[in-house]
Amino acid sequence: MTRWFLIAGVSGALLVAVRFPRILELLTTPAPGTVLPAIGALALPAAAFAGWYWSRRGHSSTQDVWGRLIASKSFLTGAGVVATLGLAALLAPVLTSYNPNAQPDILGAATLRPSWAHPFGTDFFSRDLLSRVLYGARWSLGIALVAVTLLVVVGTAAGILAGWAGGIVDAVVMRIVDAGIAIPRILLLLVIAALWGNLNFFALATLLGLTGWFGLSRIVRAEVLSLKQRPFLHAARALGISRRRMVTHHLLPNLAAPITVTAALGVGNIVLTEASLSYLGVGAPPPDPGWGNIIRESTSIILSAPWVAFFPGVAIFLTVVGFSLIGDSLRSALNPQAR
Amino acid sequence: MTRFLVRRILHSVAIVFIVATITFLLVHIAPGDPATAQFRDRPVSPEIVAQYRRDWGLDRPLYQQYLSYLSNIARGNLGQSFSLNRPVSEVVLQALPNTVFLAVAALGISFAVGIVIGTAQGATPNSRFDHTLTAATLAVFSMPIFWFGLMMMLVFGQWLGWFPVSGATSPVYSALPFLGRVADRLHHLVLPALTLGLGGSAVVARFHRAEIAEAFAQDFIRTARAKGLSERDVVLRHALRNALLPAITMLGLSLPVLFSGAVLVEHVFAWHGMGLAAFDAVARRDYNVVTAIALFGAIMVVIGNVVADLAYRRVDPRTRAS
Amino acid sequence: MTALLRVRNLSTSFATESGLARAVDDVSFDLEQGETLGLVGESGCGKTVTALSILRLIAEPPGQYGEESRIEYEGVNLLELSARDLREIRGAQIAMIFQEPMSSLNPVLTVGSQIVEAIRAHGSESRREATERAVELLTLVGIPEPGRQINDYPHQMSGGMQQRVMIAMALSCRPKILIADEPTTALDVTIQAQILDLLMDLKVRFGMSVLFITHDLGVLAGIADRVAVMYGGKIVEEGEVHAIFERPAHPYTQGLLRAVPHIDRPTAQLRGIPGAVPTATEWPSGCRFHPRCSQRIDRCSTETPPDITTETEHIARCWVATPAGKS
Repeated sequence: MTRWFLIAGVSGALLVAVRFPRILELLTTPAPGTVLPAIGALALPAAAFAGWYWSRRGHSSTQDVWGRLIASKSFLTGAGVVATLGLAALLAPVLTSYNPNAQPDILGAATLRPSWAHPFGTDFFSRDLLSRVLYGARWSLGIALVAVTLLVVVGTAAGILAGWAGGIVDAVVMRIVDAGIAIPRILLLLVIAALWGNLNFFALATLLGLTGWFGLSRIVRAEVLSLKQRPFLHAARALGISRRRMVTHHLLPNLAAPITVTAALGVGNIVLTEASLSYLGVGAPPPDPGWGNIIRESTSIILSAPWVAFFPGVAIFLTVVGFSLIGDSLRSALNPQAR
Repeated sequence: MTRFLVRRILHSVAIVFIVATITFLLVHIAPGDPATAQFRDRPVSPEIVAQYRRDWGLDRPLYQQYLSYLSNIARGNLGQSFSLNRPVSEVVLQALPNTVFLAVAALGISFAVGIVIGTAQGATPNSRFDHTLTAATLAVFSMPIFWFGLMMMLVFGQWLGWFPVSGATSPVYSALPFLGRVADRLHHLVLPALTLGLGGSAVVARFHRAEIAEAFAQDFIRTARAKGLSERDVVLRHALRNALLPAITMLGLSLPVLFSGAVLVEHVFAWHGMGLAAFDAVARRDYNVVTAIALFGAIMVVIGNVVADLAYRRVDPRTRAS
Repeated sequence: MTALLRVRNLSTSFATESGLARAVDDVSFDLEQGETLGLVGESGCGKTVTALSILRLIAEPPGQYGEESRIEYEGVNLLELSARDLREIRGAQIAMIFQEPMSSLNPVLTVGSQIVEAIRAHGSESRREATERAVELLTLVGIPEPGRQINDYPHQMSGGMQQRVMIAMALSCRPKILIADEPTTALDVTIQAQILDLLMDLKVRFGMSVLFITHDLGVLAGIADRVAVMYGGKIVEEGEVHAIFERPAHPYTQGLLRAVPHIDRPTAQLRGIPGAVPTATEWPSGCRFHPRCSQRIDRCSTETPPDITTETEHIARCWVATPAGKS
């Protein structure tokens, strides 16, 4: 296993070194602002896990968790899929020489079948589908990062607030959560889209994050309530430890496990929801290639050129599978009793 | 039981109230007011806009608007559709039967398929069979539902030509005899219901597998085996019966996701239900219709949850009033 | 005459994350017609696994039985039976009751239907006949108003009543052997005595043999004919009940006896055995009790002790036990 990581690392470093100027130039084009979030989308669950790992580095159970993860086939598969997609998003300009939005020959080169020149074929506007799917990864993963970060922050804060404060605060926050869960999410997002009109990258990401935290806040609240019952918090209170210190030193380390799992599964969920919105035409603004967008544009030509709908769907599918595998294996590694 | 029911209904009213407040707030914090949103794409004279504001009470203080909005909802008045020039409730109620038809069929498929798969998996945990089905349900769960619908449409509608791919009825529907109409409706239902239902069945199967596995770890399973029951009776009479109780709760909880999925599936198959109505309204910036449908969807979810809770208490002897 | 149940070289092990757990290791004993055999030991010594192994109620995997193991009921090795034939034995010939009546009964089925189900699994009774029989059984085990209680769910009954239902269910097909796995541990002390009396009364009426499993040696004094003491997955001492109580030969049995409160002895003399049962993945070498034993000698930690016959029908596996006729 270590050997393969080494080989992958060295060849990746070589590739970066050789093509560095071009990479730098192309990282920011043609969809500026979407590449850094794409890196982060991959880094986030890793960072959350690292944070958890660091906060408990002394515990022997931490070693067990890491051991179980490394031994888990589904974790390695998921991590492999996600790493590949992330690299593909980052290295899109290196992997393909086509501009994803360029329409070189709208009459002669439209809806070409997959070939060596265009491995995924071309779409109705003669754009290269492979490059659109690769650049689409930047958009979709980037949105997912911003949204999941927001979701984790808001959901954790609301859950801690409700669980810690109790009483009327708890009741109000949890009724809002109930209401948020009761509105079918796509309908809620359609309402907002109808009112606001076109949404840009960050607006869309914010929207997805702010409509996705309800489930997490319930988990966090339940965790806070059960922690409040445990003797060590009474002990800490008896020792006169400040409330802030109790939150940062006792509560957050214990919450890290459920939050990490939710974040990993949340990425897949956000990717699906964003693609759904874009498919309905209220997500990614054309012509930028979000995966949902590409599928929406393919529906009119689905009979003559089914590959245009097929490949971006596979990309979404792989992303969700990858993050689900990571999330599920994290969950079972973090609480081995549960099956 | 009555106390539980009263508490549960008050709780639901509170949720609907908050949903209504959220939609009201969304409308009013959006850039411009409903009048400018309404006339955004149409150049009209300021007098018309002012008249419009007066007609709809938009010139009144916000709290008055809020109160009248709430009282209108309570009386079932959802306002007027700007683009269709009809009451919103009429638009919603017209689209409702198709959505309910699709949702009920899909719910039936997802629970029937999900529970069969989950039971089979939970009864043979960690076998090769179990792992294969886990991979299969993960795969279905990970597909965007609209893409799954497109692929179903392509394969079973276009290439194999087994099912119609668009609409809830054929153009000749009204000319058909009664049985022909039923057959026509069912024929059109197959692909949308399968798309929505199989998507949901993956979630149900994953959930139910865990419930069955948990039931299998209980002592009473050992008792059932010690009595000399066949493995079939152990699974069906003891494990499944216990695991079906949480499935009732799951049924209520799965409604929001079902409705979200229905919006997409209705769009893919041009199925004229509430989801498609909402989508069309977005395209026409007819926000009254969209908010009404969102509110209506939430109310259906809340009612569904109350029904599921009551059913659970009815079925589980431990909570049934004795 | 051969015994009704002959257990020979029974080994039951489990594959776990930390290696193979040999929960039961080379256990042999007989259960005669009409006899009550007490199987005693602390938690984790393998007595429950032994009981479950007899009816093959251990999940395989992770559990597995040793190749040498034989469980002969009326001369037939249960470990070699097909699933179908095994079901003919379970409940009908050998029945079992468990420690926790609450969790051992299905919470969503009425107690009546659970008894009816047991009757109909082995006979050709109609549902009505089986229900009538269930009412008879509930009367037999002392449930008041059986005709009404038959429609109750387990949670509507007290623990003692639930255990009576379990007993009624176990007796429903007139089994020849009843395995009782700590049937009174989860019950209040006053209820314990009632259940014990009921069991012993029914044992005589039905002419059953009983394998009674407990961690409480004191319980066995009044009910058992013979006692087998388990430690570390092995039987360390076995003999007539009086011999075990009056002349315990194994230091572990002696320790258990000192832990039993006794009316003639001041409580000050009550003493537990220091230490705890080791885990089944890492049994100590030699005699498995040696790390906790106050009488150990050098060879205890290296060599497995042999069977020492201290008197007629009384065997101890201990290097310091005195063989018969040598004292």
